[in-house]
Amino acid sequence: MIHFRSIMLMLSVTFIGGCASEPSAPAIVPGADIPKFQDYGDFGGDFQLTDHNGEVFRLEDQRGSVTLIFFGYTFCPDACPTLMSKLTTVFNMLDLPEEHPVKTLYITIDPERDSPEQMKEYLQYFSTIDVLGLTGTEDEIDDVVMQYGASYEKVEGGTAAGYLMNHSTWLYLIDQQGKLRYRFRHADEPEFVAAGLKKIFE
Amino acid sequence: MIANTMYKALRLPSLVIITLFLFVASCRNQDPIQITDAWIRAMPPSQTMTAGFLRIENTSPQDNALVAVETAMADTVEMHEMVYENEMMKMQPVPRIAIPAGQTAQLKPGGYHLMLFGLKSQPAENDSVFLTLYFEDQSTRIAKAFVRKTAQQEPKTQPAATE
Ligand SMILES: [Cu+2]
Repeated sequence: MIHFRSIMLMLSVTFIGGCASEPSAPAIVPGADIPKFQDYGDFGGDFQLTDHNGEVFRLEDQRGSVTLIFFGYTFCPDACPTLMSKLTTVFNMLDLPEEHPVKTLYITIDPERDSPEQMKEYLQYFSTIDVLGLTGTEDEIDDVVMQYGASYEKVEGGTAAGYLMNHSTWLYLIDQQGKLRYRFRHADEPEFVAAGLKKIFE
Repeated sequence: MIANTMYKALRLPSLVIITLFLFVASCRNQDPIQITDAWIRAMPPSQTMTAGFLRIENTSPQDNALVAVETAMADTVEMHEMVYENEMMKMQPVPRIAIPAGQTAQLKPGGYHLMLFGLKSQPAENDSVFLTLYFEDQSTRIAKAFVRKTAQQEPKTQPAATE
């Protein structure tokens, strides 16, 4: 119960914070556009899902590398290619050495349509970065969504698609110890995301 | 003298030609609805849907709107909007896309777009697709859309073109 309450509190705090600071104007002061890492308390942590090759994926196996996580669905023809081209820009800016690996994880919130095969085809087609698609049962996905303070809702009818999904657009930055350090907003510029990745390797 | 006569002889037809040219040119620009940058997103083989984008400029003094779209390559075309609100992304169908007098409606990634469902064939990159656009003033236009994987203008962080 305490756990649940702390989540609700967190959510309301981030909600208020989100309203106050939006829209974020481009930073003029040098140094102001570096993410301030935060303590997200109970948020984040390890999970287990199925990757787009059909293999078991455990976040704890990623210790030592930095991880970016986002939630989406391949039926969305728009936002996901856009985010991937943004991340490509980020990685091009950084030009990270090999000893600083960054793993990008794409967790579907639409496991009904997103089988491992479907995700693999989609990601290989669109991504210009190293991204691993993750899926699972609805319960498994819901647990990870809850854990990371993400959210989604299914909207049925009114479209030939059958249903559409509304979903949160946070991009999560996980450090080498598996700890959640930052949540990027959809509107954050590639420079800002790149600054966050650079900072985590310092 | 000869030159002068020739000049006179040439002057009349060339005036006619210039006038005709201007007339044709003005006819061409008469359409108050200008459609540019139409493209369809190329998709991997097993996808049954894709998205379409274009710019519609309304140079007339009357408000207009896009109310329906059809294409031979898909069973259904819907008009959608993408809304980013409180860090949530919502994609939802809309009945019309307004094009107010003197303004341009932009259908682009992250905003308004077309959704093509039930693809009859998989559009390959660099193919072109014809879209029939229906407007609120009862008029219709046909637009040729090219099939591309990504938007031509990538995020603004791309280095500026050396032009
Ligand atoms: Cu859509």
